[in-house]
Amino acid sequence: MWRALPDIWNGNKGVPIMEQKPGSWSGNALRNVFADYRVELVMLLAFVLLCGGLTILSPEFLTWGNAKNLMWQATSVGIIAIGQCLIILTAGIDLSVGGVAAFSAMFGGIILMKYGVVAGVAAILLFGAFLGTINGFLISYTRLAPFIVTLGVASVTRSLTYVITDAHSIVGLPKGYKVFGYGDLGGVPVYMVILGALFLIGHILLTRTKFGRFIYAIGSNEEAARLAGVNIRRTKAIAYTITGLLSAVAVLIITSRLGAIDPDTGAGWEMDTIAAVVIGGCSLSGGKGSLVGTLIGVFLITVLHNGLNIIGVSPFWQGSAIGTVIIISVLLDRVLGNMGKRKPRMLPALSGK
Amino acid sequence: MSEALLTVRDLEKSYDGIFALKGVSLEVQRGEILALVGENGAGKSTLAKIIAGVTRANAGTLELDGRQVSFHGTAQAQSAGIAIVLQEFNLIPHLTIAENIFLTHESAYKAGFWQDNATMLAKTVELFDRLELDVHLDPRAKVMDLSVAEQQIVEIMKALVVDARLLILDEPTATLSKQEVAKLFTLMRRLRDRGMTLVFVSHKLEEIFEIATRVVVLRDGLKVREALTAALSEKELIASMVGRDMGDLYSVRHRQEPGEPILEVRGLCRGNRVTDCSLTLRKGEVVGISGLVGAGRTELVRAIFGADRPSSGQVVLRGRSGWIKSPLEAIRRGIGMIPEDRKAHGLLVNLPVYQNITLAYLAVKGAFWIRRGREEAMVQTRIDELQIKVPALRSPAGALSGGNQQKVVIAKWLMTEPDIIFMDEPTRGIDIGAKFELYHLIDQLAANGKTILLVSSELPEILALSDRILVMNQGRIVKAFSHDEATEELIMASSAHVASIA
Repeated sequence: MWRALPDIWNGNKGVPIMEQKPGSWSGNALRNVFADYRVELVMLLAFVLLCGGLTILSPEFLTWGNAKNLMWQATSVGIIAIGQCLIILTAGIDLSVGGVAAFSAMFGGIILMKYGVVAGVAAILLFGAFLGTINGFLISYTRLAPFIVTLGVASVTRSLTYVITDAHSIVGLPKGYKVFGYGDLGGVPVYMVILGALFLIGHILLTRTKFGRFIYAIGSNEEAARLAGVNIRRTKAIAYTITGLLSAVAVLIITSRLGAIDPDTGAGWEMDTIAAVVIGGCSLSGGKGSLVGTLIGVFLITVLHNGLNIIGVSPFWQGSAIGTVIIISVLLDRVLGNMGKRKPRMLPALSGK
Repeated sequence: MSEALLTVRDLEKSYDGIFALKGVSLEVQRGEILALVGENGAGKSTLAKIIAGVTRANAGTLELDGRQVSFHGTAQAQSAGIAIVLQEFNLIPHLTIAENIFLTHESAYKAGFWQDNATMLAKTVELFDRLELDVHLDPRAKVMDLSVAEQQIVEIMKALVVDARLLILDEPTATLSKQEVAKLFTLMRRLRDRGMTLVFVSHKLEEIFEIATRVVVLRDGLKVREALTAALSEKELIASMVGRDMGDLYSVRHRQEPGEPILEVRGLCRGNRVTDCSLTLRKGEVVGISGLVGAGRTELVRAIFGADRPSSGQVVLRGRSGWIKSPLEAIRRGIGMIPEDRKAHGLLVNLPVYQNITLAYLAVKGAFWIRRGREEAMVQTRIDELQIKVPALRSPAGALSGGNQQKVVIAKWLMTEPDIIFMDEPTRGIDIGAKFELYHLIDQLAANGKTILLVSSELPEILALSDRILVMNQGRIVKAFSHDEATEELIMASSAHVASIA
């Protein structure tokens, strides 16, 4: 227990006040991982328990075939969830990921059919990034609420997708296009490689770069960040552009595998990605969360879907299961937050109480 | 048996195993204004909150009128006759004054359900009349349109409608101007004359001597002194608050000849808050801006810094003219700003201390990749230099005390090596010890050729630190004093009166 407060204002370097040596993130690496990823670790535990339970209930669950299946199911939502996580960390939201995906696929698909795979893929990606930029521009420069802007963009893109094809699908995609859905790199499916690589890049971007630091700063307190010289507009615009681009990457993989571009592609992706991000411990008010959590969130949802299928539960129940998990995970987050694990232990004189 | 209204016995309270109160006993006498005094973290707010049922003690008892009481929540305390006005108000911004005052009061509702606006309004007006308030408030005005001082009056009114016998005010003057404080004190005296007992939590010495009949000093969760205000000198009070003799708080500056002009502002306007302001800042100079709250001081500083866009005027920085378009540009050109509202504008309270300290540096100087080892070393240097007390570099900035939070903000700006630092009420909400250190720091910065633009509502502070003092009144700079000619009276005179514009 603490002794009486030493005379801290007398000019000597009063170190005994500190319980823990400051600047010890290298020294206490493991402890810090626990502190930083507390929620994530709990979700990981839940995930492992879920997988364990499903393995017992069905021998089919823990097979390479099903693992690949799971990966496939996690891919589209997983890729977009990376962007959604960035945006939610800035206290924003993107409801347009599904619409942007469908629009990019459809308009890019037309170019794909006309000018070939390279031009087509480039077009799909460019459309995605472009629509993301529109979101970003409107949100950053007109200061409209992200919810409104992306809701509007979602509606417009989805509608234009129907208009351009008169609600028909594009079928008979060129053979070269199938590489994204069917190709493999040394036995590992291409989509898995893409998902993994994007998560890794995203995680590094968030934890090791200025851009990532600014994302957290904006979500934590936008005005304070602005007054500290953070370029709010640019940082936000980039986050939305990245998300638009990722929506296009996701739809590329999906349509490549399905061999057709359907105007309904991506329906519900916005809610799935938001759910994954929230389950993974991100706060919708921004500044709190991580891509590690998001990745766990994506797989938790996917395994729930997949597992309930495998053990023969009616698909109608899946929504209930996922909804419950969302609410429980946020409650859990609250409870863990209140346990005060992360609250520094301080002398009364330092705590302002 | 006891004549005390409230007797507190051996109250203990700890947060996460750390004691905020280590067994405090005191009596509150009927009809007195008791000042609960101490530095930040001394436990005075905790004590006030326990008495008012906001939090519960771990040990100890409360006796009201000689009977032991124990409150679960403020509602129970209120029905026993104890009300508290917290630092952060509990008002609903979109509701009117009357609606806020009577929100949970049964007389505002017919049959306990239907809103009864007529009765509510009449009662509010009656309440205002009874107190002979000289501020005129429309009971139908929305709370969000009120000033802080007016909102505080609404909070006090809420205590009155529940017939509180004991009213606790937790740092009520923290955000008030001198005039508003005077009005608050008039109101407090009036309440006392009507038989109410008041407990006033504060660390501002002048106010304590002005209003309180008795003083209880807390330090580190213990009661260290209890005395009638009349029997206490300011020096003694400071000594018992900090536990030692501070010397003279206000004689820290080493005067020097200022250097060449570095920043010039010409005819700057911003909406109707800042009108035609011109000023020149020189190297190594501390320029104070005095004035009442709402005189446009913060707005002027923000407009120069590029936080808000001026509507007209010029800023000339090292010979280059034109407005500063964004804080980013200001920082690039060598300016830093400690904002008035530390938690809203100065800090990212949820993010770790180290991220707060390097934020502005990263924004203007940092490379794309953050090298953690280097960042850690840079932060540690600043922490040692400013003697910031942090449990760990990774603790959230919001968990620090006010003084250490402000030091984090200062460290953030020192990282960018600015030539000019704007300081808007830099000592607000920090204790005397930290204040003293900040004064020394300002002196040191000036000695090293930095320029400080200091906005402060505390006259002794601005008089002690500034080489020149500008007085703002209704958006204009109405007066400039050199350090030698300025006095509290002169400054008050030009800030308070609708002066003929010179």
